[in-house]
Amino acid sequence: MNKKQKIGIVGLVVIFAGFIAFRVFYQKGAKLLADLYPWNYVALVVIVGLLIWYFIWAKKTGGKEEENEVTVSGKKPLLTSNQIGLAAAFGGAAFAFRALGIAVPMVPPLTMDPGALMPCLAGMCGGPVVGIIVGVARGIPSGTPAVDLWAQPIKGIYWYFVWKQIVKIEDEKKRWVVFAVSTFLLQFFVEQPMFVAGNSFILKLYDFYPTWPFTLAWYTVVYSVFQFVVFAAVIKAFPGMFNWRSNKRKKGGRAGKN
Amino acid sequence: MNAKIKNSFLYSLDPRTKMLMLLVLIVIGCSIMDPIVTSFMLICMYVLYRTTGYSRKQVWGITKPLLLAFFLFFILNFPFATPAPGEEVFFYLIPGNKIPVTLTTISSGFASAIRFVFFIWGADLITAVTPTGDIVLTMNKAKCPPEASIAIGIAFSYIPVLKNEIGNVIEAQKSRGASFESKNPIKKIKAYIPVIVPGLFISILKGREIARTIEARGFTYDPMHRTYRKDIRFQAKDFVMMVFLAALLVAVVYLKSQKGWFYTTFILDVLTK
Repeated sequence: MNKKQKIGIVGLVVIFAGFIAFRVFYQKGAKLLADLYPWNYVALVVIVGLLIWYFIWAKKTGGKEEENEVTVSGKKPLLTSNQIGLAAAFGGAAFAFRALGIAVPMVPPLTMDPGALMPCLAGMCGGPVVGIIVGVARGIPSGTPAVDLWAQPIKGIYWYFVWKQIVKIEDEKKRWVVFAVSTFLLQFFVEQPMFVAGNSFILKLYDFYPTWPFTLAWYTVVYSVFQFVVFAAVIKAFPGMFNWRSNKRKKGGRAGKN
Repeated sequence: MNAKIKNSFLYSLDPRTKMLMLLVLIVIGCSIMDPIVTSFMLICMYVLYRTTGYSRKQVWGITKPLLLAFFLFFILNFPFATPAPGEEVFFYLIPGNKIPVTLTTISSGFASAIRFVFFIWGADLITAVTPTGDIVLTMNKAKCPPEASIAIGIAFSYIPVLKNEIGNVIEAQKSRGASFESKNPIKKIKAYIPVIVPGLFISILKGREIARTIEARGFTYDPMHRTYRKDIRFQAKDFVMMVFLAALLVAVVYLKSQKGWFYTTFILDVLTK
């Protein structure tokens, strides 16, 4: 069993433990799907679908050998100097955007802040550890660190894994469509519930239902559009950094990397 | 940061004590549901701001953007709070006895809104009086990998440089006729894209420079045994503060879990009984 498979099993155990905790403490022994709204069924289908997809993917790629980097000290470093540079660049940019007031205000405190997208972009181009670091850097000066310090790094982690699969799609048009749909699904079914749950269960700022999915649904939809527009612009500008292959052919040449 | 803040008691505390303080404030804030007690905590926080050297104007500057959020949190909460059994209903928001307005629902809305301001104030104050270098040292003391703490430290110290560079991009776009003043969110997003992309490009270029520099200095050779010019040590006042914070936390958790205090209408019930 390789490292990735071990992580996968640990992840499943954590999900199972979370499910048991949800049943015991939140549902308090009620029927499994008692008091659930229709949107929860949709969420359930999406989550189960993602889990099945993960199983299939893990089975296919499970046998592949991992690359090992050898360093002078003989120990694999947590980050290469390039990744440290990327983490510093995205972490710094997140604050610089905020400090310069580059955010589109909606209904306060809801804003569309490009700085909040930096953990995702860092995860996409630098790997999960870079995503975590930029997420932590983003969470430290946040107004609600009890939520942002764990939720922002999680964004960096799942975007790394999702992105890794998106860039594997050969057809560029199909890749853009999958990317747009994934952005919306992840925003609506992962990011928003995660932040709303943090604000409601940890900080007790509001109730989980109906804040998600109803009260703030409009914001989630608008935000996912904003997120996709920014992601698309950045990826178009730096395709190589994000491993984005273009189908465009140069005169007399073959399809290649941008 | 002015000299008064740098000479304040809060600034002089060890960063670990300040982090513990923030954690205790969050736990206490989450435990107390009564808007009157939460307001008292907010007043205490204001006193802490003032004793740290913040002027009234500076505190107002932090609070002003939160006012609309205050109302939003009130609106997000009070229609969905459950009234206490047998409680008097003032009126219904929607005809057909839907969304009752009671003392509990109003108190619940206010408590959440005040708590939001309390959290922002607390986090803002603690991070403002903790220098970036100290955050890095705290992370190292907490056995956080040095690569991660250094990356966060560089990110923080690079903010003024990037702010300046991205500010230049904004000025350049303005000189080319770009307008960022529109209130239409779609127009605003469109206007910001030519700033975000070159801004990120500059950040990434700087990031590559950082990578070359740290590689040239041999950082990745043995980061675990890296030494630091400054070291952080607990002082007597840190221990006193930690004992006080622990006692406060235990008291609040005990009163809440064992005596049932601090529920939404706790003070009002005490006063009317």
